[in-house]
Amino acid sequence: MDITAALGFLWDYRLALSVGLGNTLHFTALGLVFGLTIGFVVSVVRQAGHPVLKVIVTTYVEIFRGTPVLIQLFWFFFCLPAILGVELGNVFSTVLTLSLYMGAISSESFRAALKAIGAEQRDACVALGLPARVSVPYVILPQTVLRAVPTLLSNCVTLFKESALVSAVGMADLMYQGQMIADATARPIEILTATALIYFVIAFSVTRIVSFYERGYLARMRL
Amino acid sequence: MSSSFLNVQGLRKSFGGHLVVLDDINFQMEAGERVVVIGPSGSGKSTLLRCVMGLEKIDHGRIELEGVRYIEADPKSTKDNFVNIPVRNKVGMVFQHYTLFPHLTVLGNLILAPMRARGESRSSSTERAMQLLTRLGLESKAGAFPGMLSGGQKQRVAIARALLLDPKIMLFDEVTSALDPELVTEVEGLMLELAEQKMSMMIVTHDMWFAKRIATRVIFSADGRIIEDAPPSKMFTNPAEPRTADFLKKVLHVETIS
Repeated sequence: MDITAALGFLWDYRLALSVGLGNTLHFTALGLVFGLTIGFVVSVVRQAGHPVLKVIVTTYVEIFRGTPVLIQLFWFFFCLPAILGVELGNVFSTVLTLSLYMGAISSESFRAALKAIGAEQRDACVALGLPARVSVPYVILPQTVLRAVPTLLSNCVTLFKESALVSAVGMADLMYQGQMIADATARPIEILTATALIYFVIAFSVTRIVSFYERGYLARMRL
Repeated sequence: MSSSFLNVQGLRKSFGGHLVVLDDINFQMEAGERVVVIGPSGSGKSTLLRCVMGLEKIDHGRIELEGVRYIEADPKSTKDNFVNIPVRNKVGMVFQHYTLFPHLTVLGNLILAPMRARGESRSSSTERAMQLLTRLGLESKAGAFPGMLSGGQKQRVAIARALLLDPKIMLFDEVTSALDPELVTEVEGLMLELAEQKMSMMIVTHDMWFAKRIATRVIFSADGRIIEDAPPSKMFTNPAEPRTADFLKKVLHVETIS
């Protein structure tokens, strides 16, 4: 295969691919913001909430962790509007699904981090006479976040890659654009390889940041 | 109300209502005394210290410091104990596993409570912390994170952190049990230094030689009760209770061969 020709061919479709990447990043970013918020709230409720609330949020987490994202997407695109009898809008359904999925997986990360702060740290807070207004923001919260960061970043990578599934419901993300160009030009090798590379470069960079953070910052503190 | 410095009255503590760990403990100590609590595992030694620190909810009884009640159980109710926090804050405690805050530097660990809970300025608390660290030979570690220190250094930092709050009494719960043998001396040495300064202390330890050296009084507890209470000279050479003699024979024998 002529590499120069392949690169020239890809260059012709740079705009379409950029639009797709832009949409992928857009969906992922919204999913992250809402998902992390949901995840944190859910983890706190599961740790200290009302028993009825606990059952509700635990059911939510288990359903979203235990089913394929693709089915979740289809369900929010086709089943929920049918049940409610209203049109939800494609972007809304996409972001809703990704946020709920991210919320479910990141609530587990937050929960594990909260649990890892042992009773001993709480004992130390009492022995030092730290009231909750000091111990929560200066002892509990920073340790929870520091511990949760590696798994949360991995969750972000997962969400970024899983977001390719939105192409199946016709959202014009990177995957969708790649598929369309491949179909239209009958040159899937170049275009799908390039698409995969774009996903890889971004996901790999974030993964490297995770291990850098784990080896550097966390190791120094032996958290 | 008693005139004792520390006064524990009718203390009862159970876990889940049936597993009784401390049963009707009555105990007084005077300022400057160093009481070492010894006894078999599960005899409630650590729980007694944790109750005095206010870390455990007690079922029954009352604890006073300098004549002021600061913890009391309401026997008619299952609600939380009465706690007078300003008085409880005059009690300091050091734990077996250091319990330093891993995300803060040594200096950060020391000044957190004075600054954030007691309203002392950063400059004043830093100055006092650095003076104390210098006294302990740890000034070069002020900017280090706890994870970078040896066990002995960590435990001395933990002691310094408690001391910076000017406690009236210090509780030491098996503070050398997690340390490698060669690091035990530096921590015990610091405790002996505090003893010279007439710090009031309650100490739970498995190290009978250290107990003998630091104690002004030794308590032998078993099955949640105080079996014997005597000065170290009497306790270790001529205990009155057969259970004490039996226990000492076992641990001292183990220690001589180990």
